Amino acid sequence: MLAAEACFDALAKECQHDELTAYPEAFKASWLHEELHLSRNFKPWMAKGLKLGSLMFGIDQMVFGGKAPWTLHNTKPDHAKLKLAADTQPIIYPKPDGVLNFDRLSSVFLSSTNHEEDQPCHLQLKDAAIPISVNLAQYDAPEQRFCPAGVYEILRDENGSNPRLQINAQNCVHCKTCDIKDPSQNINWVVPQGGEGPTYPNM
Amino acid sequence: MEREAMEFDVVIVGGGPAGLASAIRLKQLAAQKGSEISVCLIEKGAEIGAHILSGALMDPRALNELLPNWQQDGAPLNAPVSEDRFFILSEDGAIKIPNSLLPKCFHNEGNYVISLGNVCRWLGEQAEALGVEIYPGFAGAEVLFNEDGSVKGVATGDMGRLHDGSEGPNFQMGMELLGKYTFFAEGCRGHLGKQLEAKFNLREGVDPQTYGIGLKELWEITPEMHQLGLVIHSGGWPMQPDTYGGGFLYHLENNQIAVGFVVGLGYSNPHLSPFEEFQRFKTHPEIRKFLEVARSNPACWPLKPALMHLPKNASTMN
Ligand SMILES: Cc1cc2nc3c(=O)[nH]c(=O)nc-3n(C[C@H](O)[C@H](O)[C@H](O)COP(=O)(O)OP(=O)(O)OC[C@H]3O[C@@H](n4cnc5c(N)ncnc54)[C@H](O)[C@@H]3O)c2cc1C
Ligand code: SF4
Repeated sequence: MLAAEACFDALAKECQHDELTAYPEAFKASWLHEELHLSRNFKPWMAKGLKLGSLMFGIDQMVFGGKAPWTLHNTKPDHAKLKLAADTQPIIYPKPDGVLNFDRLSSVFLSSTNHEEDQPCHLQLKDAAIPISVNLAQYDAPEQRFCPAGVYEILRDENGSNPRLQINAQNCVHCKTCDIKDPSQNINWVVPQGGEGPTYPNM
Repeated sequence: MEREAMEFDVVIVGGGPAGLASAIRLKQLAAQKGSEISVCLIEKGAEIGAHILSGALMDPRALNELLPNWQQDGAPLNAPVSEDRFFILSEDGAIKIPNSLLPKCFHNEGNYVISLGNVCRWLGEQAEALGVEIYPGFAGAEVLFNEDGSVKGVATGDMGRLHDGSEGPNFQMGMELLGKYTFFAEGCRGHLGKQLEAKFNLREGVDPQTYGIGLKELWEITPEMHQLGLVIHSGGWPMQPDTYGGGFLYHLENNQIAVGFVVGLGYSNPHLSPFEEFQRFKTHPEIRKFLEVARSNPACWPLKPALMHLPKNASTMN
C-alpha cells in the first residue's frame, strides 16, 4: 500500500523508472515498521535455544516492551549453518500410517502440483558433479530430506554403487527450500512455464 | 522473432497479498484524483490463490485501511479468534504457558483465522472490479532493463520449449510487459528478486535473510471437537532445543482445522527432514486428539497436505 502511494505520487509528477525513495521513508514511519521493530529480536533469541531464547525474548518484551537497547544480528545465511553428516546424529522418523501421518508422495498428490515434463528443468544445477562429490559425500545428500516433495532422489545400481541424483521436477511445489538450504548453493530455482505448480484450493 | 510488447503505467509481478494490495491502492488513488492509470498484474499460478499457502491468522488492520467495507463486500474473514493457547511440548506431555506471560505476537484478540488463498482470491476480484488487468498463468521470467540500467519491465516465460531448450510444436514466445514502474511482489526468494538483489547489491550492509519452511494440512473434524476461532501454537518437541520451529493448529469455519508446522531453515543437522518433523508433530496427544476424531468419522478426511515457506523478517529491519 505504501509503495503504491509513493508510486502514484511519482506518476502524478510524470516520473518513471526511478527509485521510489518515498517508499522506504513512509515505511519507516508506519505502524508496520513499529510492529516489526518491536519483535525484531524474536528469531535471533530463539536461535540461541528454546529455554534461553524464551527467557531473553521474554525480558526483551516484558521488561523493555520491545524497545530494548539491543538488536541481535544474524551473521550466517541458512545454507552455511549445516554441519557435516559425520558430526551429527541421524534422526529416525516413525513410518507413516496413512491415517494420521503420510509420506511425501501422497502429500504431493494432494497438492495437485503438475509440470509439463518435456520442458527445460526449472531446478538448475550450477555444477552437475556437486550433488554427489560434495552434498552426498559430506552431508549425506540433505536435499532428499529438506525438499518436502521428494523431488531429489539419490539412485544407485543394484549393488549400491554409482550414486546419481535424479530430479523429479514435475513434483515441485515451489517452496524454494532447495535454493535456500543447499549447502553448496548449487541449485538455482527458476520459474517453470506459467500456470504450472500446485493448485491449492483454499490454503 | 521479436517478443510482443505491451505498455502499462505499473507492472506488478506476483498475485499474493502484497501485489494485490498495491494494485488496489493504485487504482483507488487514481479514482480519487480522477486520473487514469493502467495496472497489470501477473501470477505464475493457474489462478490467483493457487500458489498461496499460509497459516493463517490475519490482523485486519491493513484491510481496514485498504478496503474499509470488507465485511459488507464479503471478504472471507469468517472465524474471529476466540481463544489463544500456547504449549511447550515434550514427547508425551504439554505445559500450557499462561497467556499473561506470552509476548504480544502470540495474542490474537481481534484477529481472524483465514485461508490466505481465499482472501487473495477475494482481493483479486476487488482488484479486477477496480480495473486492474490480472493475468494468471504467466510467470515473470526475466527483468528487462533500460540502457541507463533502470528497470523497464519484465518478460513472461516462453511456453512449449522442450527439455533441451528447443522450440516444441506448441511453442509460444513470452511477452514483454513494460511499466513506468515495476513492482516485484514474488514473496520470498523470488526468481526475479534474486537477480535484482545481485544486480543492485540490495543485500549489502544488511544481515543475511533467514527463512523457514511451513507445512500445513487442512482437516475436517467432528463438530464436537471443533471450536471456531481456537488458536493453538506450540514450541519444543519434536524440535531439538537448538532448532527453531513450532506447530500451529487453527480452527476455521465449516469444522475445518489447519494444522501445520514451521521449521527454521537455519537448522544444523543435515539428517533433519522438515516434512517428517511435521508428520511426527501430529502424533502428539495434544494434537492428535483433534485429528483422531476425524478418523473415527468417515465423513471427515485430511483435505490438502501442502507445503510452502515462510519469510522471516529478521533482517528487513536493519
Ligand atoms: C505455513 C505458513 C504460515 C503462515 N502464517 C501466517 C500467519 O498466521 N499470519 C500472517 O500474517 N502471515 C503468515 N505467514 C506469512 C504470510 O503467508 C506471508 O507473509 C505472505 O504470504 C507474503 O505475501 P506476499 O504477497 O509478499 O508473497 P506471497 O504470498 O508468497 O505471494 C507471491 C505470489 O507471487 C507469485 N509469484 C512469485 N514469483 C513469480 C513470478 N516470477 N512470476 C509470476 N508470479 C510469481 C506466487 O505464485 C505467489 O502467488 C505464514 C506463512 C506460511 C508459509
Ligand atoms: S522448490 Fe521446494 S518442492 Fe521444489 S524442488 Fe525445491 S525444495 Fe523441492
